[in-house]
Amino acid sequence: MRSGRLAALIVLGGLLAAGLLVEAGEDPAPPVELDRVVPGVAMPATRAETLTSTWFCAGGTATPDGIADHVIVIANPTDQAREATLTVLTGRMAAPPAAGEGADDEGQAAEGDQAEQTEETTTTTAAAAPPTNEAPATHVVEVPALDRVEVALADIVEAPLAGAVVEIDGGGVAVEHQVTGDGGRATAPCSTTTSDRWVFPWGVTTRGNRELLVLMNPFPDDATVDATFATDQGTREPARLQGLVVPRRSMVGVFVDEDMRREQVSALIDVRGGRIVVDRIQVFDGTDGREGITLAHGAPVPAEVWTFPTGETADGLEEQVVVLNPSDEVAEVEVEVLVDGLDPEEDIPPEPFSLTVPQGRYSLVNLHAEERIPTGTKGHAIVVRSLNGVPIAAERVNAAGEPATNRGITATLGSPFEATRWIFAAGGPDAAARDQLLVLQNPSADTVTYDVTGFSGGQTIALQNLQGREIAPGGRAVIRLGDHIDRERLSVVVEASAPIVAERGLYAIGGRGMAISMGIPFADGVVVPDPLEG
Amino acid sequence: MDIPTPGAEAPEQAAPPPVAPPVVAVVVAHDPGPWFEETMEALAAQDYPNLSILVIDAGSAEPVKARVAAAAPDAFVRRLDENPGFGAAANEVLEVVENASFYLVCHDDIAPAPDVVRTLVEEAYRSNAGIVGPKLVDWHDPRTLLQVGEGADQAGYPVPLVERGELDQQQHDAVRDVFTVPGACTLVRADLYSSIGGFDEGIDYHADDLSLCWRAHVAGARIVVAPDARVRHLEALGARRRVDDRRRLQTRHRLRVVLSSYGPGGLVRTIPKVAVLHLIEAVYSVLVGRRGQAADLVSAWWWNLRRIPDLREARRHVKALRHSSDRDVRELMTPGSARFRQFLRGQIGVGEDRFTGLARGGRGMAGRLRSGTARAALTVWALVALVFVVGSRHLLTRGVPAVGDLVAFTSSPMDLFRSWTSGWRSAGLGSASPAPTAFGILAALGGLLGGSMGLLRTILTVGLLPVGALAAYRLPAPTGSRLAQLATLLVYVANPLPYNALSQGRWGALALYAAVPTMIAVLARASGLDPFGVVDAVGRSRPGSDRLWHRILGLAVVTALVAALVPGAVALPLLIAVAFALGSALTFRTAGSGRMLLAALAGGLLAAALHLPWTLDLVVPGTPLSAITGVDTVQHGSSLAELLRFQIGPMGAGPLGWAILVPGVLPLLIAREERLAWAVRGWTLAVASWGLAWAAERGDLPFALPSPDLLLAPAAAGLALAAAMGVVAFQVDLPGYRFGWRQLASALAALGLAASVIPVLGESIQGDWSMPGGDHRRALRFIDEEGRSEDFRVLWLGQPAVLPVGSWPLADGLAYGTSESGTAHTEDLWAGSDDGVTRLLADAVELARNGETARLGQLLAPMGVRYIVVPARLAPAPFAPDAGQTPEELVAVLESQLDLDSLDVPAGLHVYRNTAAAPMRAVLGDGAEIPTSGGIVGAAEAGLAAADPALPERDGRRTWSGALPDGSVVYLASGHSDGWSLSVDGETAEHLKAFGWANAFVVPEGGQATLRYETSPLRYLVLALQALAWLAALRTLLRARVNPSAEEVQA
Repeated sequence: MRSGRLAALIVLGGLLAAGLLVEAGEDPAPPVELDRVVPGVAMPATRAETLTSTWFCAGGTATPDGIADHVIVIANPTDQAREATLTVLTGRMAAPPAAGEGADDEGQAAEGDQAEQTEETTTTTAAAAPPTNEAPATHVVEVPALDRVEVALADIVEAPLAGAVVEIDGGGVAVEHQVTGDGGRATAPCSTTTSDRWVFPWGVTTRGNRELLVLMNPFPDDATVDATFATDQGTREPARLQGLVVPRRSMVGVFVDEDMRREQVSALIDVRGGRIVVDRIQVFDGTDGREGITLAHGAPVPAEVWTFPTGETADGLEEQVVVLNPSDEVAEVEVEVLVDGLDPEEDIPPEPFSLTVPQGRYSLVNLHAEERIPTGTKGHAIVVRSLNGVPIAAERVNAAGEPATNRGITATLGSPFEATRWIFAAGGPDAAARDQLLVLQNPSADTVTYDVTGFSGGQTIALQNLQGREIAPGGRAVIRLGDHIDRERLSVVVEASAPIVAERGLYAIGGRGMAISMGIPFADGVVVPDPLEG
Repeated sequence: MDIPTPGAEAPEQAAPPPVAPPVVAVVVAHDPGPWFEETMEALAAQDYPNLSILVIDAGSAEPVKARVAAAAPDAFVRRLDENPGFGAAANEVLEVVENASFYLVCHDDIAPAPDVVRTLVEEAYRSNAGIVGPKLVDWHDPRTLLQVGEGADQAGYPVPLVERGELDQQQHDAVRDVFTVPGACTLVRADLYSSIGGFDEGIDYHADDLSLCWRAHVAGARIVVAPDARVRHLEALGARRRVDDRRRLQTRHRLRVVLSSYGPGGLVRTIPKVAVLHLIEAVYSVLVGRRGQAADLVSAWWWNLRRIPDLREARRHVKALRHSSDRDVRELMTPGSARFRQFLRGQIGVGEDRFTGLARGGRGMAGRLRSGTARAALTVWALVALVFVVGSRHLLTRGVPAVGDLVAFTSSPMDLFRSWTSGWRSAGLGSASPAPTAFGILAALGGLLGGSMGLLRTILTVGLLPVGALAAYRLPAPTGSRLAQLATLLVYVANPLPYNALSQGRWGALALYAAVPTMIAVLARASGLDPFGVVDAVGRSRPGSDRLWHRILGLAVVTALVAALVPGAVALPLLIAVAFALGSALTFRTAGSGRMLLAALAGGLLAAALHLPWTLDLVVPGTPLSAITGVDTVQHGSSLAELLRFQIGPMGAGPLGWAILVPGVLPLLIAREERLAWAVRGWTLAVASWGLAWAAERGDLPFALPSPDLLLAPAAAGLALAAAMGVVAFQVDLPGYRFGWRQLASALAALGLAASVIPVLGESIQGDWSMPGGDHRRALRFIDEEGRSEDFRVLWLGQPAVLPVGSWPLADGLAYGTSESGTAHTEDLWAGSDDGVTRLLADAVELARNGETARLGQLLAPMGVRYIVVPARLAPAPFAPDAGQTPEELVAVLESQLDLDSLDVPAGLHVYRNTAAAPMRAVLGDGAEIPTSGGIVGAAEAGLAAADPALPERDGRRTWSGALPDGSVVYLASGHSDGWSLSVDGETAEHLKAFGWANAFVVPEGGQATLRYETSPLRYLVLALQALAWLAALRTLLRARVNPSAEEVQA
């Protein structure tokens, strides 16, 4: 009688051996990482079908003599009216640094001290900013279908700092905010997320230039914040900004220039407990020739690819890209400039800039000073990508002055996404006061068709000559809206046949004011570009 | 002599003149066998001149009158309608006989020599004895001694004065005093018999002679044995009562004799000794697998305690006749403990009475003792017990931390019983669904322990380790190899699975570890395959057909007990049987597979039936599969190598982790015949379990499976079975091989076994099996304190492995569950189906996760959720390492909610207070209206957070009362059910389905109101049937154990 010993040994042993071999032959499972580069988190985005949507508009003032009068712009491209509830939070500036801890002017004797402060770790705990003792004010507005409303926070509260949490009873709505001061007007999307970390690659705190970080805590418990700044001479952790408490449902403003004077300051705001929203208002008073005001929220999540559709250097038009590496590993970064109108047969595209960005530090490329970038006649798009998988944050800074026709300075984070639909809530071409440009970049290898539609006063307006237009593969479309319509209050939706990146520039005509900002993508149809494809 | 008994039929004759003291032979007969005529003829043939014979027919099915008349025409017969027991039947003589000098009380299976009566009477006069006994010899071989009187120790255990089976060479033929004379044939002076009241009628069979003689000693009488009187004894009672029955009666009745015969002082001195002896014997019996014997010891006390009034009466009677002190009686006893001496001689459990042959058993056991296996078993068991105790010492002394599934038993047995009987389940948003059977089981067990739920929890967690070990030890018992049993024990105890399960708080894995060896044993016996079947007359193994249904029932009960905790366990017998069938096919021995599959299928179905009506809640359409398999189906990332080493926790790593596989390999190399077949079956089961666990870990299966630790329990048992066969093969097969590599393999297997034990020994030093030193309860105590005065829900979110509540799947490997008015209670461990309404909790969370709301608290408010707790690890830091279980994305979402207040709690835990929380029972005034649709959005918009709490006075678990104003609406944040009712001043309020899922009651006119849930009487009926089914199953199993089939007795 057969014992079956051999069969059993072969089958059972074979199964186990095969399993072990299969496992040994497989690549080790990659570490599970959350895909945090999601629309609405990495950058503001709107969803068509949601129960509610919430926007956080932190930066701004609400006093008669404020440096950045804060206005909220809510655009409703849907065919149903929405109700928006604004919870207006107020706050004050953080106490300036104590004597001896204040700003050190660049080029002064304090340089030596700076070197010593590099990489320092300060463990003292800062006191909380004095609370305003004011309960948040609530303001409800109806946003008609296919229309937009603007709410000046100064009409609701009076406070050194005023921000708003905008809750809307539905999706598809976009919220931007704008600040107006002596340097002109800046416009940017509000944030759709809170975060326990915000990074700002760019910042200037030299004499005459003020960098204000506005920290908004919309939650029912206090938040404790640590701020770290990367400068050209290392990192700094001002004592007053370590353990800084942002009281619940209020805001705290921090003038970074009270702590340091530097041409380039990158800021990293970490929250020990809780989550906050941080906006940056940068004001240039012309002391060094730059005039203007910028408004932007930080990057809550780093990404591997940042795309900037707008780009131009010329006499009077300066442009630089600042790359910040907030991670714990060195980032190998490439900055590629995609110049318009190059003949593939004859023209050689500019060689990408290769950067090695240490952890916690920044690196910048001054495109205006680079000979490989053509100036004057040809615009360009910029793509910043991490080549070794270390996520980064990239910000582009554009400054305009003599002999350019515009005046001002603007900075914006790139877009980590491509999307088929983009909305611009604020703006509107006004032949008398404001020029508006839309810049669409097609990152794909195929031609993309797009439509531009405006809406205002309950009506949609298919802009003439902006329907069914094409963008060549890898190319851009630069649209001056004033050539197609003249309407001061016009929100715009761009819809493309394939994912693109859309940016808007608002330029004051004949005065100071320049604001370039990314559009707000509709979350459905968003794609995350692959950094290795380019 | 006068026997004027009515009804007694005696032949008319003239009485001879008295030439000797009258003796009446009292023969108690009950369904006597064919030997009876010989008994009667032997009595009739006595040469004693003044002997009368009285036969008491103790309710024989066939009256013995005719047989008596044929064999002993002069005998009288008195028939009793029922069998009152031997003593009571013999006592009939007191009623029907007068003027006798002696009674010769006889069994119906003796054959006295013709001079026995005369010899006994003469010795009675010569020794002035009250009781005289003969020498008992074997019926068939009169040269073989059975008894020549007996001694007894202070606990009433008999002390044989001769060795049974000893050849009678007249070496014991001297007359001597004894403590007792065996009851087969006893001459008692009639006046003594009358004064001590004859036999104790509280004793039907067994120990009646002990009682009689003890009381005779108390009365000052002398008891001697007269070996010249020789009586053949068939010991037919042994064939008429099963050994377990005899043992049980002996244990009970000996204890009764002790309790009734000692004076107060003697009783105080003796009872503790007897109790301790019984306790030790019971523990020993359990350890060596004689659970019936242990049960008899326990039941003996219970049996006597239930008869305290009767005992008191018996003691009064003994007191009345006392002429000798306890001290005098003790001097007649054998010093020390006869029982302990029996133990040392290896006699316990083999022959419990003289019918089955103490000496015979003793010789066998003595032989085994000499071989060392019994002592080795005790030694190994002592070491295993030591490892368990040392390894669990912190858990035993400080308590088992409430981590993972090991939720604290905070509910009392009554609470659990009410939860079981209630038609309303609080899990999730509540549902009118059947409660898990576990509630009833835990309530019953808690009640048995006097409400000590902490002790119950310890037993049901740490206690499962020895249960599993014992089950593994018993698994290969039919092989007859104690070495195999010990190897199985060691392999199973050395397996890292249970310790890892403890460290990870995996109760289900522990339960399966304890139960799977028993499941395998039952299936193996059901197969009827050698060596697990019943061996027939020609030595072939077969199933024992009349016991198959007992096997199925046993399998069903074991499976049902585990399924109470792990519902998916109902499929486990089938998995085992299928694996065994595959293993059978591999060895070309498919016989028995069908029976195993049949038994497994039937057992699983019956187990599911035992959980009715709960089973219905798990299988109704729409119920997620996770309700049966458990939510914890996410991949833990364990590799196949880790699974093979059972490394699902801290244990099992390193080269020594592989050693657990080594002993099981041996039989694949050297075993033959059925030993090889069973080893292959064990390995097939192990490979199948590993394969399923691996596939589940890799996510290769299109359906959900329980977590790997549950799937690995059969693998552990399969390996142990293979190891057992390895030892048997070592004993049986290896000697048949020439010396070579097989011997070397055997040595390596032994080394592997030794090496596999080392990690367990090392782990035991910690004293807590790597369980966290604390749990989340302290950090969350504020929630419990708040819950004492208010009702609210706690929503638990996170990875299912760290949730202390039964949970439902959310998404991305996350799960959610609830607890009511505090942290997790016992009842919260079972989730069941979500009944459609509970899913609203997940919907709300998903809205937040999708970024569709920043006010999750507002959505959860109408559901009564006041706290959201996200455990990120089993216990707070530093008690548990960060195992990477923090659901960062979920925490980020919750942190982003504007109405959730993140509380300051220890690392490893995230707790959010819902600042928009609404009362569980809210009252809306001013004629408020609640829509009957709208879902969670409609409820959130209703602004319930601003409503006042209603009905604050709790009365029971599902009843609240309080005053309500006119024109109010009462909102109840629970799933809608018609069982809820609100009465206001006796009037039933209109009941609405608020928002399409909750409850609302319209109260036009206020007053004193009571809100309660009315459980359907039908449910009580169904539960009563369920309880009866469990009791019937258990009773049947117990009876089957006590009364094994004739086949098994024969086997």
